[in-house]
Amino acid sequence: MKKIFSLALLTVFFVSCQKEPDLSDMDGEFTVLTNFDVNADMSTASTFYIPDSILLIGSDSENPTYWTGTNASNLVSEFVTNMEEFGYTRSTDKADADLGLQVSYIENDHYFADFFTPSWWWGYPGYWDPFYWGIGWGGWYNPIPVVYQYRTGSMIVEMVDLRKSSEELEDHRLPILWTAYMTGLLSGYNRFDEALTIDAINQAFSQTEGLKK
Amino acid sequence: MKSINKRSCFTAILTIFLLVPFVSKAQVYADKIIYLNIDWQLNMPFGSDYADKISGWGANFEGGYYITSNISAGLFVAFHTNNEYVARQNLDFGEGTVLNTDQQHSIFQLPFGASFRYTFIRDGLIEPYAGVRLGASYNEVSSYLHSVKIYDREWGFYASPEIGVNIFCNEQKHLGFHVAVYYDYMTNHTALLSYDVNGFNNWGVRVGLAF
Repeated sequence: MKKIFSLALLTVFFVSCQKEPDLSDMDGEFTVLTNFDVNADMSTASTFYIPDSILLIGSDSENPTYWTGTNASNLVSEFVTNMEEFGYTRSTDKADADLGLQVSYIENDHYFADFFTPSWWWGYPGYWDPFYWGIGWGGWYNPIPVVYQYRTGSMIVEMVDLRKSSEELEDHRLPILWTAYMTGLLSGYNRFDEALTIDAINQAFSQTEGLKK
Repeated sequence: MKSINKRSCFTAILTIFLLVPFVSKAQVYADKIIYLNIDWQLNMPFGSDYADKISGWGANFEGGYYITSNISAGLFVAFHTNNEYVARQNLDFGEGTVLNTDQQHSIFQLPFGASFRYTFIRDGLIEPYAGVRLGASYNEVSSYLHSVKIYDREWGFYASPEIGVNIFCNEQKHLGFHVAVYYDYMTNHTALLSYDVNGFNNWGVRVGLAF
């Protein structure tokens, strides 16, 4: 037993000798991961709805907390601009919209997930509920392989397909057509961090050609 | 008691392969039955595009026992890290998944196992040898994306031919210098993001102390 313990200790010692790379060499822009349902038919979608506020994940409250104000408004506007450039029209009534965009921001770094695991944030208290998009939805359905791990300063965007009602789908699960995950180190300066986030939003759209109408 | 100074040792390191045939066979201790090397490593992976940048973040520890006057067997353990910055790019995983990021690629290798050496000259201060090392290797291939680290850890077999020399500073061979050049191959197969590394090749240099 002693020998095994010594061997384990020795192994830990050598593994701890690994040299971490210098992350200050990196460009400081956000990492942007997008997943798009390649089977989605975007040609019949014309309108989209996006709430004016951003859900904050990781706040201490058990109740949903929303980020409003100028910064949030600027980020929402960036989504609107990109969607309009892609050929969609903003709808002020979600009942009439073909697509819905839900935007969330993660405040802390206590969440972790392996590659290809289901979207952990669906279980977060106060997270967007399928009922937000209409009556009858029994959950989320994501046909896209999810490939993330997360830390602080992350934004998650999900685009839901509202063209069919829950009654029209067998499992009553609201389809997600597009997911964008953006993460990076924050400076603490609002304007700079906002600029980084806006760049990431633009990058998310530019790397998803299939999203164009 | 004869001794040579550090300068002489350094000169000997530089000219060893030219001098080996002419080394005087002075009556120094040829009956030392164990050896120990502790080295700093300069290592460069090759054969894949992943973190194939030379680095000095590594070390080697090896000890052995002379079975015959020229043949020794022993144990070794070494470790090395190679890092390389990769500029921002789109990684397309297919099926609609795209990742845009810059990265710090990293390979950590931890081989260990048995070593065998044939030492050509034992009765001089300079002991040139050829050796082979066989064993296992634990490798971690990582990609750092700012605050996120993605990695794959795999085990594999390890084989490495090596030539080197121990240059002792006194006849008792209590202390000396060690220089070696090596090639190694590991069978580890790692897959990460859109990168697939099936088999690791390295060459490198070890410089250190001999006991």
